[in-house]
Amino acid sequence: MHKIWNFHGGVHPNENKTQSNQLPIVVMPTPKQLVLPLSQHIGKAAKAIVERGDYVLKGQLIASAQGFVSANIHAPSSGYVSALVERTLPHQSALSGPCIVIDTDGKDQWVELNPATNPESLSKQELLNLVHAAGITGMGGASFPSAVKLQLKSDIHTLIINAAECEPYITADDRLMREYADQIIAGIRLLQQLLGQPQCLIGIEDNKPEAIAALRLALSHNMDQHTNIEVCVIPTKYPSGGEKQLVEILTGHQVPHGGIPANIGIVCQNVGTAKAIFDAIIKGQPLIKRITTVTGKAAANAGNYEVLIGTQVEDLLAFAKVDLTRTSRLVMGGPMMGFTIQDTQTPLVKGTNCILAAADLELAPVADHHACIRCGQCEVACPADLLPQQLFWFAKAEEFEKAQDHNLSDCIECGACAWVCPSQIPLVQYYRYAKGRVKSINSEARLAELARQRFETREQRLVDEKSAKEEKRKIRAVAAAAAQAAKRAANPTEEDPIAAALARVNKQKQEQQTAAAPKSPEEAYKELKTAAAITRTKLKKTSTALANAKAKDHELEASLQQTVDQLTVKAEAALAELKAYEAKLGLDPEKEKTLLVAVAKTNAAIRKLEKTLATAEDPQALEKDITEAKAAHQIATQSLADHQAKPASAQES
Amino acid sequence: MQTLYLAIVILALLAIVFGAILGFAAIRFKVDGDPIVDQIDNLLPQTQCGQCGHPGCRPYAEAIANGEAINHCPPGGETTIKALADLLDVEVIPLDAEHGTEAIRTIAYIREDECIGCTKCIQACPVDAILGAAKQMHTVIIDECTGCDLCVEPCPVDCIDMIPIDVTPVSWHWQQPEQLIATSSLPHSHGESDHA
Amino acid sequence: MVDYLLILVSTVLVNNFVLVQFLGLCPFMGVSSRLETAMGMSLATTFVLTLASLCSYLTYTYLLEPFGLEFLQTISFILVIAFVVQFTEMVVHKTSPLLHKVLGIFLPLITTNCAVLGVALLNIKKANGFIESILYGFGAAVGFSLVLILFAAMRERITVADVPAPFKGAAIAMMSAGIMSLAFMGFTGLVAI
Repeated sequence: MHKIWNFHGGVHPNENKTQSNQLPIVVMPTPKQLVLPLSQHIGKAAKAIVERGDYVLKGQLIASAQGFVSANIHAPSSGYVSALVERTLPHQSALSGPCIVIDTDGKDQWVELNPATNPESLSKQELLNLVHAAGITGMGGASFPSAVKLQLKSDIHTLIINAAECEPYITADDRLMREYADQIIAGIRLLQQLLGQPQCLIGIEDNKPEAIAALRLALSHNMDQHTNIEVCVIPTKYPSGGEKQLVEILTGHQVPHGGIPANIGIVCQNVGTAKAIFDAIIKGQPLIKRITTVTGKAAANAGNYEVLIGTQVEDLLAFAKVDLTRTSRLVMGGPMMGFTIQDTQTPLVKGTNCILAAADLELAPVADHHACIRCGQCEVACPADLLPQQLFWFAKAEEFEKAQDHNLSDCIECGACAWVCPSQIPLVQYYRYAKGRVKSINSEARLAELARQRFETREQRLVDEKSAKEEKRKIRAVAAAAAQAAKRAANPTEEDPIAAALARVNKQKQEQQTAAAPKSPEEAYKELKTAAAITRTKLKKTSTALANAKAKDHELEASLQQTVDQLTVKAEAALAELKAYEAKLGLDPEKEKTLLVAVAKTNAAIRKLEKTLATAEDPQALEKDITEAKAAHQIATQSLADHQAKPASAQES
Repeated sequence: MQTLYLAIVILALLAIVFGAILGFAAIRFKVDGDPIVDQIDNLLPQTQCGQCGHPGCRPYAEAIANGEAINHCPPGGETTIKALADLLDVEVIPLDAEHGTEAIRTIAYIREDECIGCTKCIQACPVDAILGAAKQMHTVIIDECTGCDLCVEPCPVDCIDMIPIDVTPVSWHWQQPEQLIATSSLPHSHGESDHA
Repeated sequence: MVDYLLILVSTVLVNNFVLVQFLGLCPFMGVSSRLETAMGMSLATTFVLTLASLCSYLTYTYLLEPFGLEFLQTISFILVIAFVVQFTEMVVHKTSPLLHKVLGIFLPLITTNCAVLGVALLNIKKANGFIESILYGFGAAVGFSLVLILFAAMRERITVADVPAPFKGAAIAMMSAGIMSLAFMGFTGLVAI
């Protein structure tokens, strides 16, 4: 029996797991549309390698990892790529980001898969390459690219499998372990092979007796192969599933401040990631699906669903028979660390482990908070052994340096402190705010430093240029004076060279004007446009100066007014010349713009109608509309072409 | 009488001795320059925009070291005022509206259709963030632009816009939660709070 | 030996110069808004107090007393203290310009700190010997530093706390100082000096 330690703090919220862990996993049928954000992981976003209209097979690579910390994205089902557009991202900010949208064709046809024939013979690098190619990221929620996490220089003596699932409501890992225990163990063996055969500890909470039994049963098959894998049952406490907390529970060691578990020879992987690695290497399947819990009182069919990555939340909610009218809050993630989503078309991504449809007052409503009474309960609850109360005061007073001195960066944002706070202060929001400000202050300071360096370099360059010029000028002046003196000495009767030079230049100018080459229409047009713009700008600037002078009752007001009047005349003249030129050539930029807009509008109308055609009740009426719209578009395009052809015809005539 | 003379002599002696030691110390512990200016300069945003009334950030840093108010820098905003107040142990004062207001960060953008290649903006940019040459297209290097606004004035065809930066999921940050505690408000504001 | 210890305990805790004898309140209220400045100030004051106490004693014993000029003690002590403070200021300016800038006017104001002159004069009144004078000055400085640092740490927390608006700033600081003073009065009778 492996020894179990304890970590400081932790809380015991109601588990609410029986709502969703009673029934086996249900495979959700392929939805009509899949939305794949290009950034589903920590690190740089992947780059799309497909275009609109491409046909993709299930498991085909559609976006490739960019840079070291990044992950591949694969098509979860076969179909056509209908767009590469901005859609709402599954992120607290509800911002939009680039996504690949696939309209599935229902055939669900796999791409050619390459399962490993002899996995035991694969080297560490080959295993890593397979993990990277399959686009595997951490399935516990953080979504860190696994190939990067597993690529370590230091020796690893312990592999910890995180099967704790400590957050209330979520039961995805629980059911996964009950139904896929053998594959999970196989995945763990692959991980051990990848990491140099460290011992493996599976940390699982004691509220999952069936899963514990399933894992132990799986281990009992081929006992001799699994001698260094052990199931460690830990007491149920939130957040024992936090990586650093689980490390402390199972090994008694704390991950150093600012460090990662690899610094003390430990690697943690979620149990779902282990299964995904099994799928990738043994079955050759990239990461395209995951188990997601749908739970909450508003869900009629609460339970665990095997969903394709990119399924929109509304499709899953419909399948799980969630009553949106009863839903008071829709949370992506768990009640402690999840975030509320407003747009039900938000897609599920690789790290989405739960959708919580809370009804009525199942989740406490967001309330005004009271003053901090300095009770200290938050410090008792903090699993990272921090001083949440002090961090709160500092974040509130915006004293970010002091907050950093109190180890703000070690906060795992678990929410245990906010959960115990009798004044219901949203503590985690304060810490997130403080962390954000620290980040932006640091980046601003860095940018300011760079700007200062550029500024100082520029100043130096200007000084150097000036002095270099001075030098050259001096040398040239000396040489010129000497040359002139020599010339005058040799030829005393010659005329003044300066006057001669001026005469030459004037003659050249006159010749240029008389033999002016005809300018092309484009050049002439641009010249006129520029002249008009210059006079317009001069007028604008002088008018502003005049307005300022009037406001301050400045003495230059009279002369400024005069200049403004002069410039107004000049500007109008330039504009008139420009308009005359345009009329002569039949150019009309305003009209051209209106026609372009008309073309774009009719085009958009067609697209819109085509989109609704798929789900319309009366396709025939729509077909008629579409034909009409296409005709309108044709007319608009023709008018534009006619208009654009005019100048050429005007020139010829 | 003798006491009086003695008193004067003793006091004078004390004064001379102390004065001598101090004079020697003044030379021995002489301080050149003013390193405090460097520390102040490091806190300023380095936009070199001139809104504070000084030709650049370093001259303003020197002015602050000589006693000028710390609230003249709009690009630095409240963060910089706070940092300066912390450094110099003075009070935090609100930004002086005479020098400008704190605005969101913007980046310059040149409308290339209208650019005539005159290089006036290139000469104006204090951090060399505009790429181009005479009669060639000019363009702003977004990563280097500090949003100082100095290029807009010199452009003869007015083709430079100042555009605010978009928020991306990477640059997005949480806002501070609303604070509704009675003690947060000042005594002269919001008469609705009926706490004593 | 025990006498020296008693002097220290007395000056630091029982008869604390700031909170019990109410001397040196100007820098106590003025420099205690931030912990770093408070620490800098306490170092400076410790240096000044000890040195001034020593120099005052020497001046009195070897310059004033032999010539029967005891009545000059006040003015000559002021001279001594001014000299020590000026010297300290130059050293601080050279070694830590930031501290010098931050302490600002309070550094030369140690000259007028009644605790410094008070220590010098009390030494004479108590007829302290050489070692006792130094210890007395040092103890007074340690007591001053202790209270200053404690108060600064507390003020930093008070600044960000939910103080009712009318009490913010100097008001709550004064009230806290008063309560601290009450606490230090609890040491009364510990040592009878």
